[in-house]
Amino acid sequence: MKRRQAILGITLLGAGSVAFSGFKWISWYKKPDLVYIHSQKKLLAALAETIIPATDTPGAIDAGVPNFILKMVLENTLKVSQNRFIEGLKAVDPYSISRFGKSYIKCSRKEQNEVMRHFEKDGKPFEGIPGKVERKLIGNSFFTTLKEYTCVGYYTSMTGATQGLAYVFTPGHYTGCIPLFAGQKSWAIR
Amino acid sequence: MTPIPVKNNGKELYTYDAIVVGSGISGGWAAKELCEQGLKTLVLERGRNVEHITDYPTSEKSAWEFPYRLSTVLQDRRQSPVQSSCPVYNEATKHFFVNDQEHPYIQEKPFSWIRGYQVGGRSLTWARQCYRLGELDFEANAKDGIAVDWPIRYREIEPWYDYVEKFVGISGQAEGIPHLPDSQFLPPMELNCVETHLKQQIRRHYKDRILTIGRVANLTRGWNGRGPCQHRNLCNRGCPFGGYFSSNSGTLPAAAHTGNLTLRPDSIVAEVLYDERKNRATGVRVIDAHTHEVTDYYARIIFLNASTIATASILLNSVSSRFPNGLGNSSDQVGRNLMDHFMMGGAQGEFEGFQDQYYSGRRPTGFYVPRFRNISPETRSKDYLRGFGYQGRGERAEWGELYRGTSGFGESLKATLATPGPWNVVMGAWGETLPYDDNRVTIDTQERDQWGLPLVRVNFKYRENEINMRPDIKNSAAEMLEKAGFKKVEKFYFDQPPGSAIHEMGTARMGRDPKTSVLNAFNQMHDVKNVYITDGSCMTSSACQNPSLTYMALTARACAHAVSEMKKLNL
Ligand SMILES: Cc1cc2nc3c(=O)[nH]c(=O)nc-3n(C[C@H](O)[C@H](O)[C@H](O)COP(=O)(O)OP(=O)(O)OC[C@H]3O[C@@H](n4cnc5c(N)ncnc54)[C@H](O)[C@@H]3O)c2cc1C
Repeated sequence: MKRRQAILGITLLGAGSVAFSGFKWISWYKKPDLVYIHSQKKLLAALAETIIPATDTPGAIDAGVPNFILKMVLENTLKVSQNRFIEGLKAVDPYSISRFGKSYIKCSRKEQNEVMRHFEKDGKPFEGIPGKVERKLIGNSFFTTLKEYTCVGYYTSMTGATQGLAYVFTPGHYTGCIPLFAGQKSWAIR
Repeated sequence: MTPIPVKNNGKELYTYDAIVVGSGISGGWAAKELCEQGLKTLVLERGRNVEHITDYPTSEKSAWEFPYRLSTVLQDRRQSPVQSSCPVYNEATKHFFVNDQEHPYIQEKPFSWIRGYQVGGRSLTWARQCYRLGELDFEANAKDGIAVDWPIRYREIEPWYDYVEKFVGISGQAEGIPHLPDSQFLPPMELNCVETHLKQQIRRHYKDRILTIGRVANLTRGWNGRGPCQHRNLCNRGCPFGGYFSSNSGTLPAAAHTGNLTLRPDSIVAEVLYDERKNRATGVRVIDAHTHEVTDYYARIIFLNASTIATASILLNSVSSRFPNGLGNSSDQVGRNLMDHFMMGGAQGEFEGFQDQYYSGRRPTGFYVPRFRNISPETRSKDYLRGFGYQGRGERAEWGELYRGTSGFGESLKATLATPGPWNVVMGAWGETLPYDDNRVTIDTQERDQWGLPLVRVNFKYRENEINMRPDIKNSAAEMLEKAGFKKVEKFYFDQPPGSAIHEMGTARMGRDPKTSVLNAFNQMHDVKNVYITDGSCMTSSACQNPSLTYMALTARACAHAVSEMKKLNL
C-alpha cells in the first residue's frame, strides 16, 4: 500500500508556472560549481537552521542536516537543480549585505528570516504548467531544494525523528483510534 | 550452432521425482506440496539464495542508517528505470529487485516488468493483499463471450483457498459478499476513525457497496510458528518476526522440513527438455548464473513457476520438431492474452473532523471497497464489462506530506510539521483487464542476454474496455468521498505504464479446449501431460482482485492432481 505514498507524492508536487527566461534556463544546464558548495558549509548550516531552528527541540544543525544537504546536492540532485542551488547560495550574501550590511551568518535571527523570506518569494514554483513537468525542465529553485533537503534531512535523522517527532521503530500493535493528548507529536514514519 | 557442452554424466545424480522452476509465491507452494507428498523435489531458482531473517540486511535499520535516507536515488532511476519506478523500491529494498541493465527485455510499447530474482521471488516484496475470486469471475468469460471459458468454477477452487489460507494466515473481516468470498481469516486489523466514518457513510448511501479492512497476509496472531506482525510496516525488507507470508518464511522451510527438498539457487532454466517418442517432458536445461555451465536435470513431473512472462519465455524457447513454436504450444496461445490490472486512478479528499483523534502503530494494509459494477442487472454499466475494486487508506497528513505544501520556514513550519495534520483518504482502483490475443509476450530472434538466452519482447496496450472504465473509477471514488462529507475532493488518474500493477498474468491460459488454451482444468499442459504451470500465466481472465492467493490455491490443487496421477501411473 506504499503505492498510495506515490499517489500522494505526485499530487502534492503541486502546480506551478509562468514564463522563465531562456537564458537562465540554459545556464542551469551548465556544469555545476560543486567546489564552491564545499567552501560554504558554514553558510549552509546557518540557512538550514533558519528553516528548522532549535526550539524546545533540537534544530537542523544539531541533527546534522548541513552534511545531508551537502551530500544530496553533490550526489543526488539533477544538474538543473544543482545549478539553481549554487546560484542561490552565491546570491545569499550579496543580498544580505545589500539589506543589512553584513553576511548571512553575521545577521541576527530576525534579519536572517528577512533574507530567507526574500529567497522564498523568489523561488516560488511557477504557476501554470504542472509541477511535475516544471521539475523535469527547470528543476527546483534554491529555496525549494533547501527546504526539502532540510526537512527530509531533519525528520529522517535520529535527532529529528526521535525528538522533533514521535518515533517507535517496533510498535507491536496498531490501534486505529486513540485520543490525541495535548502536545502529542506526529509519527515520524508510517 | 555449436553443440552445447552439457554436464550430466551420471544421470541418476541429476534425476528427481519432481522439478519446480522458480521459488516465488507459486513455486514455494509447489515445493511444499510436492515435498510433503513424498516426492524428491528439485527447486531451480535463477537468483541467489535468501535465507529467512539472516538475509534481510536492512530489516532493522532506521532511516538515518541509509545514505540518502530512503529518498529517491537518481543513480538508481538511471540504472534501473523500470524497477525503481516501483513505489516499494528504495535503498532498503532494492537488493530484492533485479537490475534492469543485467536483465534487459524489449518493450515494444511501454510495459514495466518488475521482478525479483532470488529465492522467494517477489513473495519478499509483495504488498500481501489477498482476495478470493468468486463465481462471478469464473463465469465471466463464458457469459460475456470473451476469450475462452475458465475450465473450473468457484466450488472447485474453494476448498483449496481454504487449504492455503490456513497455512498462509490472512487477517481480514468476513463480509459475506458472494462475489468476494470470505477467506479463512485471522482477526482483522482495525480501521481508524476516518475510515470507519467512510465505511458508515458508504453503507448509508449505497446498498451494494461496502468498505472493509484490507485482507492481508500479515499475522495478527502467532501462526504456524511465525509472527505475530509487529506493525512496523517495513514488510518489503523481509520480516525478522516472520510477520507476513513469504516463500522464505513459510513454504520453503516447510518443504525443507520434509527432507525431500533440494533447492538450487543461481540456476537459470533455459528450456524444458522434451522426448518426442514418449511425448513427455524429461527434464530441464539449466545454465549456472555465475559459471554459465550447462546442466540437464530430469524428473517425472515438472512445475513451471517462473512467473507469467518468464514462464512463457521458457516455453517459447523450448523448441522441438513436434513443437516448433514452443513447448505445448499447438494452440499458439503461449505468450498471448497477457493481462495486468490497471491502477493509479481514483480520488482523494480531506476530512475536517476527528481533530482530537489519532492512531498508533503502523498498519501494513489499507482498506478495500469490493467491486460494485456489473455484479447484477441493476449495477450494469453501459460503458464497459467487468469492474474494479478500490484500495485506499485514511491517515492524518504528517511531515512527509506537509512540508511542500506548508509555506514559510522556521518555528512555525517546525510546529506545523510536528503536529498531526488534517485527515485525508486516498483511494485508487484496481481494474480488470480483458484478455486480448495480441497483448503478447514473444522472444526475440536476434538479441540475447549474457547467458545466451533470447530477450523477451512485450507488446501490450490497454483497449477500449479498460479506457472506458476510467471515468467511472474517478467519479465513483470522488462521489463516495463527497457523500461522506470529505472536502477538497480531487480525482486523479496517473498514466503509469502497464505492468505497474505487477499483476502480469494469462500467457498460458487454462481452458477446456486444447485448440484454444494451453492448460487444462488442473493446470496440466494439454499437449504435454507431465508439465504443470501454476503461476499467473494460467489465468483465463484477470478479475480485479490481487491474484497471488489464487495462484497459491491453484498450485496446491494442481500438486494434488499431479501426485494422484503419478500414483495411478498416468504420469
Ligand atoms: C511491490 C509489489 C507488490 C505486490 N503486491 C501484491 C499484492 O498485494 N497482492 C498480490 O496478490 N500480489 C502482489 N504482487 C504480485 C505478486 O508478487 C506476484 O503475483 C507473485 O509473486 C507471483 O508469484 P510467482 O510465483 O508467479 O512469481 P514470483 O514470485 O515472481 O517468483 C518467480 C521466481 O522464478 C524465478 N525465475 C524466473 N525465471 C526463471 C528461470 N528461467 N529459471 C529459474 N528461475 C526463474 C524468479 O527468480 C523468481 O524467484 C506484488 C508484487 C510486488 C513486486
